[in-house]
Amino acid sequence: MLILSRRPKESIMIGDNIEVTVVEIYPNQIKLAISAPRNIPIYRKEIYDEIKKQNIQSSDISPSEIDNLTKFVKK
Amino acid sequence: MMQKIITSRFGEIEYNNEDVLYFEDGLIGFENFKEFILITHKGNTLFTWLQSKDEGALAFLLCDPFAFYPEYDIEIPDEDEKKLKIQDIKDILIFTTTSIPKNAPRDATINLLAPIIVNIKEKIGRQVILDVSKYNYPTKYFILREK
Repeated sequence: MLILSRRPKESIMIGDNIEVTVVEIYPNQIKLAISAPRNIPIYRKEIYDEIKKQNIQSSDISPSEIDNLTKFVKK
Repeated sequence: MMQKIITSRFGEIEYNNEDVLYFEDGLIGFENFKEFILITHKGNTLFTWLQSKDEGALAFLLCDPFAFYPEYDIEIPDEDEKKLKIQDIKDILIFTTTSIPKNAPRDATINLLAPIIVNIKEKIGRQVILDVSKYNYPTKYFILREK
């Protein structure tokens, strides 16, 4: 893990094609600009983590639990 | 030619190579699992299993989001559309992962923010994260609650 400090307008290069720039600093928040190839996805971490959590939950189900659920499904 | 795998939920199942879907980036949190087979749930065809071809114990429960949220309306981001090689909307299947809490089946939820999209013609699939600023869809939409 690399820890470093930047001032507004300063940047970090990750590899040779990803650049993270500090745009502005507020009391409780920091605005970043990220430049990366279009095929590299960029997510807020909490969103990535929440989706991963839902994926894990959906992989922890057995067929009988759906039959249980079907009793409640009105259609 | 028929292939076979042993799965923990369905026992031994047979499939053809043409049944295998390729997920270039796996699923979020499961990036190394790239080959899957779709298995419709017997007893309720609103549900489908995304069974890993290489790991018999790994299968994700998916369902048809439109059955529970008819207003579901999405725009697939350009990069995902490219990777899915979408040419005809008829080739596209849209699923959402489904979570059923162990002691509270009435609290079942689906993830509307990150649908699983399959191009059934190209045999390609992706988990697509919708633009959060455009769509404020929840990752946990309760499918059995009264509207």
